[in-house]
Amino acid sequence: MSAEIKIVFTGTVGAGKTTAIASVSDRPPVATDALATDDTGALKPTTTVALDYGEMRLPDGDKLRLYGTPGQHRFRFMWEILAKGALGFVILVDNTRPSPLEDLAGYLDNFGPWIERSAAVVGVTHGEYCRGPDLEQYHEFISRREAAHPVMFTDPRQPRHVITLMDTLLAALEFSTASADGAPET
Amino acid sequence: MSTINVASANLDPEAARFVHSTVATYLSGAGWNFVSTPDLADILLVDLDTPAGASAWARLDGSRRPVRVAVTADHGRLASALAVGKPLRYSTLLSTLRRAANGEPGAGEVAGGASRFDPGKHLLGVIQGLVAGGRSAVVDHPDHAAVAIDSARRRWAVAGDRPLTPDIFRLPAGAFEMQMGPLPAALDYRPLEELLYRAAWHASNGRLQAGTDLSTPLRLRRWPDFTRVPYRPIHLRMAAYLQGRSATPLTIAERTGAAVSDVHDLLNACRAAGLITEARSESRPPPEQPSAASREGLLARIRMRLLGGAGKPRAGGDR
Repeated sequence: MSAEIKIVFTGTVGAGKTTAIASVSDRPPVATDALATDDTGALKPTTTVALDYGEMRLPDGDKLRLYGTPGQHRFRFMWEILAKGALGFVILVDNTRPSPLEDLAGYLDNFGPWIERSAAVVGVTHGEYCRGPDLEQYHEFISRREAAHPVMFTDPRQPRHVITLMDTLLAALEFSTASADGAPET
Repeated sequence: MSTINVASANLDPEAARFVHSTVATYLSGAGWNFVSTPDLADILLVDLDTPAGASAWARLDGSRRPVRVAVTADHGRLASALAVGKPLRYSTLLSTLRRAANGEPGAGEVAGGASRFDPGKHLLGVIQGLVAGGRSAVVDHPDHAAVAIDSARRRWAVAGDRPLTPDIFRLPAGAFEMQMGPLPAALDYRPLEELLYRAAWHASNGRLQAGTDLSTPLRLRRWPDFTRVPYRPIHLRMAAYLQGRSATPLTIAERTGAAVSDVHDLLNACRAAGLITEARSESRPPPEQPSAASREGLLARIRMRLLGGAGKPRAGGDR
């Protein structure tokens, strides 16, 4: 039996992971939302507690599975489950949060072992004209970590933006020097 | 010699076409020609791996003209100063041809004259001039969008009702008028990098930028924001290749399978946007990964699904 082919969308609460998956999924995405009872409630009424799931059917009939992780750290036990065997990672960062670069660092750290075996692309959401860092600052921040992940401003509601992120991830994977053992057998 | 004629003898048709296109693309502007008659050649590429080629090579022994260049899969012969290996590659072929020309005037120059992309002749040059002088202005054209350039804050916006279309970037620089002074505040300003990238991308038209040294390795400082600027899928591949490694334009074409015109477009756009830096030497190609082949097939299938209309410019649009 072939392993599943999956891309994992992760990132901060409210960054747009659920929306991004819904933008490109062939079927209505499955969401495991619950009422937000903590600080998240100030951002949105519900939040993902286990995972989001969408899929795209490939030309040969295989499915590309799109998983969204819960944003809150208390659900991080789900991260490892979802990350295992992922082809690559789309990290969405809400640029309006107080410390988006620290947020990004957290996800790069937590998913680091899997990203090292695959690739990641960073989508910065909620506008480039807020007081958050610009692309140059994101680039410098990532470079200081001796990494070279592509970073782009992204509107998760726009399917073409999400597709561009995924397409970029594929290009990064193609020339990645990683061993690719995180990728599934096909 | 003022004109350098290059010909081939006994090369298979595909290799001969490769030599022809290399000379036409990169050397014609500097006075090089590809000629079909070996008798007219100043430099003759000879396939040493064929009996006829070896015979032709021997016949020319001792003659001063044409200069012989061996094409061979026998790497033992590559110790010769004037030999290129099979399969032919742009970079080695060009460097060998230049060595064959032995420093004759013009031999080291590539793709000159009208075939080069000169930013100064387009809107890109107008914008770059404003930025270099630290000036802000509304750049106007009677039939196209007016564009506000805020050099101090490195941002731009469409001013007025006419939409921005790619045609504006191909117009001659002299077609624009500039209204200097304070800019309207209530505009939808965007990062200037995006406009510079677009201006070069649309005007470049596959041409090598004037002043480009093909032997200088380049590195992508960071990725273009492809959600905001137009691209074709091959540009993502090239950007990925250049991320974290340096390469000459010809190596980029060889390693990614891109047409040289596509390489020029990406490099011109990234150069205009300030995303390219020069490196001292090329990076060594990374080792092949054991699972790379199976992953490539998977990536190709996913890409096919994502892109649908692959090959067309995507994203960014042209607001």
